[in-house]
Amino acid sequence: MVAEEKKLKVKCYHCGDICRGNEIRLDTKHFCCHGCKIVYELLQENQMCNYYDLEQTPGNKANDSNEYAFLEEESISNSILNFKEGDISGVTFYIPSIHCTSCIWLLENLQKLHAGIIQTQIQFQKKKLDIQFNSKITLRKLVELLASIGYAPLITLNGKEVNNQTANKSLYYKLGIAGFCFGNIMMLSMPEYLSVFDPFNGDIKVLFTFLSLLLALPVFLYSASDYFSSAYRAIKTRVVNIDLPIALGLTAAFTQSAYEIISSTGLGYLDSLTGLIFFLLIGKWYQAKTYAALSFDRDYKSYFPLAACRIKDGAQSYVALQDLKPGDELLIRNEEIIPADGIVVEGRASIDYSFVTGESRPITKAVGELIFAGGKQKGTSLKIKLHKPVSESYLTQLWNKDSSKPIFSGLEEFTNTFGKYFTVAVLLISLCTYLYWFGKDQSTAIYAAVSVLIIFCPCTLALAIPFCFGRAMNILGKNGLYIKNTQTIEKLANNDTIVFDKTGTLTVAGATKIDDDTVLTESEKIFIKSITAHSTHPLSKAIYDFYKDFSTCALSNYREIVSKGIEAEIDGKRIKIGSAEYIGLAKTSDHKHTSVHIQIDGEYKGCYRFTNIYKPNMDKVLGKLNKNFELHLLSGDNDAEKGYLAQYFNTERMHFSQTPHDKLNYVKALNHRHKVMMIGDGLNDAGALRHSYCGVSIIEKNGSFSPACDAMLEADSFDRLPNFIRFAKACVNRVYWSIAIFMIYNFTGLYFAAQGSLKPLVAAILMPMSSVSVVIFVSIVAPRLESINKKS
Amino acid sequence: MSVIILLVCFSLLVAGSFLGAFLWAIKDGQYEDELSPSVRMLFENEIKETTNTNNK
Repeated sequence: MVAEEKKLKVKCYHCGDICRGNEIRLDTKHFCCHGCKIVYELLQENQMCNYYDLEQTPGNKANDSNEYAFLEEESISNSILNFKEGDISGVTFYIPSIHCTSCIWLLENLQKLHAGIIQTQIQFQKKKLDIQFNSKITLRKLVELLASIGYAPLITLNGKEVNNQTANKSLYYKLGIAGFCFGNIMMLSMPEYLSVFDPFNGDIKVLFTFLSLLLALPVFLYSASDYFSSAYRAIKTRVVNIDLPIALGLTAAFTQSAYEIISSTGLGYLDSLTGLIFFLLIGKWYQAKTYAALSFDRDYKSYFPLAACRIKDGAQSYVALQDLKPGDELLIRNEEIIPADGIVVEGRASIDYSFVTGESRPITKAVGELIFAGGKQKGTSLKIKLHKPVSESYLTQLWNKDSSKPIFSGLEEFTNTFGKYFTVAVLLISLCTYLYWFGKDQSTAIYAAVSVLIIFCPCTLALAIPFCFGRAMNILGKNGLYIKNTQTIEKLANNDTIVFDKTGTLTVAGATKIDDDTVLTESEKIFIKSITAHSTHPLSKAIYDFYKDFSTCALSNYREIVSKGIEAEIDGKRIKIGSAEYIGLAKTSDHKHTSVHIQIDGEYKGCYRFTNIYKPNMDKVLGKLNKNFELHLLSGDNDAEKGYLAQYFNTERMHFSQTPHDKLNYVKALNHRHKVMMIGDGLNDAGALRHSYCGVSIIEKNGSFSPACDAMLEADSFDRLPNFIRFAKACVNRVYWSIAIFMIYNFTGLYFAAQGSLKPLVAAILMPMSSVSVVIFVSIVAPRLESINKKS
Repeated sequence: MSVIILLVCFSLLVAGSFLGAFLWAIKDGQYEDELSPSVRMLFENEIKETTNTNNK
């Protein structure tokens, strides 16, 4: 017995899971399965065991299954393979579990695991693995091998990513060609720069100019093609975009140059034109890099600290979402979101897909049927077996898609509208410049007009917001505040009123002191535990945890009436757990505690008394927020703690015994006068969160996903709330400053360009420079991380 | 003066070959993943015989 217990505590050296069943050992290390051991052996063979020193249990959980039988099918395997030449085949897999440098090493040494694998190559940022293999291994065996060492590939039959790849490549092609042609045209223009053409023989001058024209053609037609197609789309849909003036400028400059050269009336401005395109493309490349860095960070670093309840060998444990694997069994309770596609194993699923489809009528699914990620379970808890891995990006997408929130027009909207008028203004100013100079000096006219078109470009404006807010989003995420999108930062900064929920927000969830005042038999205690297991309410969780050592049993007719109570039938007995009102008792005079009453078959069995433990830093946080915000409190509990809370909240702004509907109406009413930030636990105040200006849900370590909110705040980071708000305000200021810089920059540029003293080439260098300077400004002056961490 | 024409043609040829090399490198996928090669070279391992990265 003692040995048994000891074994339970042994964790797998590779993946950190608890070892069960057959003991698998090597040296002094324990492993939970064969896959983990193989990986370890492979590493040990190559003296690469510092893999385990770099990170604690870095391995992925290995996974045995037969789900890849479909790969035997010729037509399917052919559609997955990249090529098949006689004996050798090649395939590219997307493997979501690639997460660290050790993965690169491991996956690139696959040929040691199986003689059939010739070579493997990883693309880390894209989480892709290219494999070449011969007929000694089949595709199915290969996939199973990968799955067995914990790198199960995600097999999809569409090739979306491939398109993405070619788009990225073509920018490099364009850049290379533009650079080459620009350099050579500069060289060919050298005699012109030095004004040494006159003594030359006319043939060379003609040769040089025609050669320049020849070199400019691919730049104009290929490298700049994106601007033309974008401008064409703009004209077709009758909207003005920022590429339109650029395309116009390029066409004007090229036509003028070509005319001058062919009619031998001048030398054209091909050096400026190609240089302009080259620098424009560099700007574009830089912008793409910046966006890629932001999205990589978002996809791979800022995981939500969310968890799901996994059932393994009868035991429940909370596991972070990204550690869940297909084949895992999960317990989904009432009101919980299904994290990934799965099959119902036990229980009756009644799924509300309102976050996915907008349709909130629950759909009933029986055991064995498939349910999809993003649905919300209503009713009793159910067990599902995951079918696909959890896709964080899908959940993020779901979060962003939630259309129930009123459309928010913030800075981004403002800059977009502003940019449009701006572009029209640019076109007009450029035309005026051209007409003004036309009478005086034709060559200056085209120079000046093109310079105006180029310099006066609102793309810096488009870059400032994503860059500043994207960075802020990462910083906030690392510090425990996960925000939905960049607009949320503005929302955070603009609040003037904060509404708090009490339970689970101001109080510490799971650390409630319980006084047991019930008369229950052992079996009745099991009933109580079984029923509370289905609810996500903090008090239910507390009771569930209170009966740690009891088992659970099956029940029927489960019903949860939000913020009142829960009931179910076990062994023909009707059991009700809830507030005094719910049980049918007169309201007791006990206002010191929150009580949960028990009734079995109409017979009163006593109650549990809960004493709330407030968050240790609540005092400081509320004290600080009180200075700048109007604070409100909404609680579903009775007013037992009103006296205590009165030191933080104005008594008129404290409301107790609120139903979710009351909370919603209260927030709606407040919204008319104020910008309300609602902070709650996201379960029984989802409606209020959704209708507030900025809804923040507090998440505990074992929190569940609630798409209704704008931001998720880790419970541990609650004390930093004032710092987060200050940080958001600083970020918004930063953007205003960027806009100011942009305006100064552009109007100064315009002043010189319209006078004809700025060559288009110089303008083309200045334009990406303005983007760079805004980015540098935002990075350097960006509110420091320390301002969040600073305790005051 | 014809030597200038010759030199210009020659310089274009040299520059063009560099452009060709650059395009070849893009086509081969050298710019697709800038992180893993830098990590890969630090792995203590037997020398790889093949360095072909093309996955056509």
